[in-house]
Amino acid sequence: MLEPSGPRPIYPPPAEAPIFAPLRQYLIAFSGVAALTIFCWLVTPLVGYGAISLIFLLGVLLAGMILSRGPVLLTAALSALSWNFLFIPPRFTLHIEKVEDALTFATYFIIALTVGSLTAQLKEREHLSAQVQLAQESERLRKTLLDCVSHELKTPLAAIGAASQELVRAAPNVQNTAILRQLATEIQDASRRLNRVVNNLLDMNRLESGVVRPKQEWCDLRELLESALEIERESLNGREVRLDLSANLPLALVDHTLIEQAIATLLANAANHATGRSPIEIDAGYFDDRLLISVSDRGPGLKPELIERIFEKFYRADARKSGGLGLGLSIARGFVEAHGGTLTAENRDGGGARFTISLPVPVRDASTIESHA
Amino acid sequence: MKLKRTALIVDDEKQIRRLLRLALEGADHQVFEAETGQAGLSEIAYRRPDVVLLDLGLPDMDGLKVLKHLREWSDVPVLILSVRDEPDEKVAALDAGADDYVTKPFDTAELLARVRVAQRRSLTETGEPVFQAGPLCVDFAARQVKLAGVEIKLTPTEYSLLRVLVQNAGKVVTHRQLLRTVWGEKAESQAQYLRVYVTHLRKKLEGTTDAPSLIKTEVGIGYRLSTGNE
Repeated sequence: MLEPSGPRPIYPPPAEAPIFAPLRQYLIAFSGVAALTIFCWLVTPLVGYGAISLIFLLGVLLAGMILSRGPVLLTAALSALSWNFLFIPPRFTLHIEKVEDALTFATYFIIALTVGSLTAQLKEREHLSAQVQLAQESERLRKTLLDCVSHELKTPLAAIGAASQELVRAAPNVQNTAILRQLATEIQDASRRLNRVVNNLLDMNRLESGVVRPKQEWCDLRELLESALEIERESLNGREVRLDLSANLPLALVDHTLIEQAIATLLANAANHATGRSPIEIDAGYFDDRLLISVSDRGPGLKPELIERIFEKFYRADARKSGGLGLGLSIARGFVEAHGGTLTAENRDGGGARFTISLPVPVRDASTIESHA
Repeated sequence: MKLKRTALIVDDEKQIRRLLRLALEGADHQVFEAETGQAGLSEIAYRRPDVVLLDLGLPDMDGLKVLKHLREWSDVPVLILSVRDEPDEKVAALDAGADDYVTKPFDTAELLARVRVAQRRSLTETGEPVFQAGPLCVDFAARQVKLAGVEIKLTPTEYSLLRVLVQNAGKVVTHRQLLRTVWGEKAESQAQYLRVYVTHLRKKLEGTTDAPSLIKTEVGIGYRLSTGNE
């Protein structure tokens, strides 16, 4: 079962690439030291050559923050050389005359190398721990998903198993037909649920492997809607459904099964969320070269930030409610998109949600078909 | 008139609750139901059931959490009933104080047997001096073990291992529980002791009979002493 804390994308984003590619890093180190040297050359008359070592140290520290270990060490070595060669008297030699200069230089060199290596280590550790965290998160998601699927498959299996065992036990007592009927009904309900879960998983798999190709035939839209209503009669549970179809609805070239299932999913979804005795409304018509079918309810509506998420696979709006894999809407969208169409959701004026299927499919006046036939 | 035993089902699946109720009522229990962990906890406090059947995947809180809360103030027998079938999950639940673990889909007859065994716990804890199951007879007062009337010599460690299994007869005892009780807290991770001693014990107990294994292995979880009638 998904945790109430809410859904997340199933696959983690790829690990962040290092900020700069290796070769560019060395280039940055080199040009950084060069720029720093010019700057120091300009300010030496003001501050004296002793303070220059601090400016170079600052440069190494900065490099440690943005570069990886190799380029940082290069920065340290280059700036040490540059300071010695260009600033410590006698200038333009690597020779150092005064003992205090030699001491400062040695200290500088050690500090620069240590800082460089430490900051680089720190960054590597950070990177590693981020990767570990990412792996853990993805493992947790995988487990959550597996838990959810096994719950949805095993619960109806458990019901079928328990009911049939009870049936075997109760069967010799034929007088008690009520209990026999109840047990048989339990088996029926559970196998329906199991069937739906298995179909959803198979459909998702078909969509993902790209083998869904609509078999387009001329369909009567009214017939399509009515058969979708028939599929979901049970989940509608007597709730009123208002059909508002434009008169003389043309025939549409669609895959009957796929579109019927998409509509059925929208109906079941609406029935799930409609409150009180509010009716579900279906509108269908042909506007601007597109066939539009919308299913609307008077439920609580959709939180704006969730409008796109509800179409993600394994997303469930209310993870606390048991039942369902969170695949229905994502499959419905897949089927509609296989026709080159779109399935979108929005909030209605006056409360509730509206789902609209928009199909760029050829339509034809029913009478012209009949004359061809 | 003898009062009926009471059972509480904590499961969010309506259909599973209906079927469990049917099975438990058939086994002469009065049945109460709860849909969430919170409701389950208050029902347990209010009804004081004789046994609790607890699902792990509850909508409001994890079943394991319910169990941990519950164990702070109640020692009612708890049977975990879950679709999760990984050994780690089972061990976690048993170590948290569950009496047994049954996975869904379940066998109704086996489930009812486990319910009976879980409720029987209080009997052994009240200190029956002699335990008898099939050919095995353990006299706690005399520290004497007999198999089909013939006395069997056990080392002190073998005896305490057998005693823990006998006190929990019919129920699974985790590796950790056995190690802690027989060898002490520090030995909890020394599973190899257990394997060696269980092998010794089995040889002594089963070498002389053709009876099916008395000490059953629950792979990755622990051991269960078969009482022959569950």
